[in-house]
Amino acid sequence: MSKIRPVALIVIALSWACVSVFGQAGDNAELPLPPQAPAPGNGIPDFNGIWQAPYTPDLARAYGGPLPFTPFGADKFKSHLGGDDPHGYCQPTGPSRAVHSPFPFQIIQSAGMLTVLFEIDHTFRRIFTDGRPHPKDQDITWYGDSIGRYQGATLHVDTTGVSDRSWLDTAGHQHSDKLHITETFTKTGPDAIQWTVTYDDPVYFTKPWSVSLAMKRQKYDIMEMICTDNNQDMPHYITSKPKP
Amino acid sequence: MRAEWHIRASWAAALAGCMVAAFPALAHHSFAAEYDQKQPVSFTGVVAKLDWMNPHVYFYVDAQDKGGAVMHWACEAGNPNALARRGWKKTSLQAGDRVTVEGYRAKDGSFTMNARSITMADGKKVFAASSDDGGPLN
Repeated sequence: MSKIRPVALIVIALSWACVSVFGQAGDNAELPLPPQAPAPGNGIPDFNGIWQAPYTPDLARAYGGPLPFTPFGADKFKSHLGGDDPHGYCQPTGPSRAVHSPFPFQIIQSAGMLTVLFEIDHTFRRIFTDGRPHPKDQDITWYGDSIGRYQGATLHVDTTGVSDRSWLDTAGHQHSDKLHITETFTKTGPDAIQWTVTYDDPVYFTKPWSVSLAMKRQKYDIMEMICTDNNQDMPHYITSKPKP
Repeated sequence: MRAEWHIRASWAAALAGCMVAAFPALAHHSFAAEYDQKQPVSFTGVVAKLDWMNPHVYFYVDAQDKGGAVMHWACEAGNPNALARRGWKKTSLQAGDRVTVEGYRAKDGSFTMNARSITMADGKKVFAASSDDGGPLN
């Protein structure tokens, strides 16, 4: 063990040096590291840890072209003002925008549930894996209701009831509360998850469309990020909303 | 000696990173929501205050205009958590530091700007930020 450790440390150091060069992270010896979680076992893929997806402020770029808008959806996108972005006012991101934000998140798997602790806005998301259906007479909420099921190396997630007050991304892509999000989290390596998200919203889009991003395990623990702490931007937005 | 090397290595890593990649920093809002790509601004002055806070680091610079009047600029930088992970600290830029700031002014005409480049008196650049927000690259 003691012979392996120096080699392992060198490999880790070299890999992180490469990451630094490519701009994923620098190095800060004063930052805390995440706790080590045991594998969940029972054939369930282990998603525990700190992860981050590539920051994707414009989903159309990741999709590879204009989104399949309905006329209503196209008009809403064309006429939107960046200063109307709810997150500019520190309102919640909704369930999927937090995943491709420029902030990491922690996944914790427990009996019947997978919890995502998002650094962005210090919020969380729960995905129930105990076999329950979506609730009847579901309330419309910022993060909606997420249920999941494991299949091999993949967690399939189904989310409904997401408030139309959230935006899908920073570029101004919006949705209705008829939005149906399906996601797959596939463990493709010890430090890699392939995340594919599909948006189906008949009010805004003519057909379902998908984006797939490669998440990587992160070195540092998540940190506190309270958006309302010093939101100096609000008075300066070009917006249709009343000035605060 | 070792500590000095570590600091230099951190600077080197951070600078290498900012040369190679466009760093995301404005998750919180798009560039166009607030800033005007057609209004580049540049000034040299003294840092009055630094707020190392979420969602964006803000620092305030007193700089003279061509007529000698003092302008009080509010400058938006990147996110403190993201900056910390790149090796920057709240002490990397301090009140009293003389800096040259380049960036873009707010559309509302206030003395508010998005800092894309912050250069210390000795030529070092700090807080490499904020791209991939729909605004101009660094």
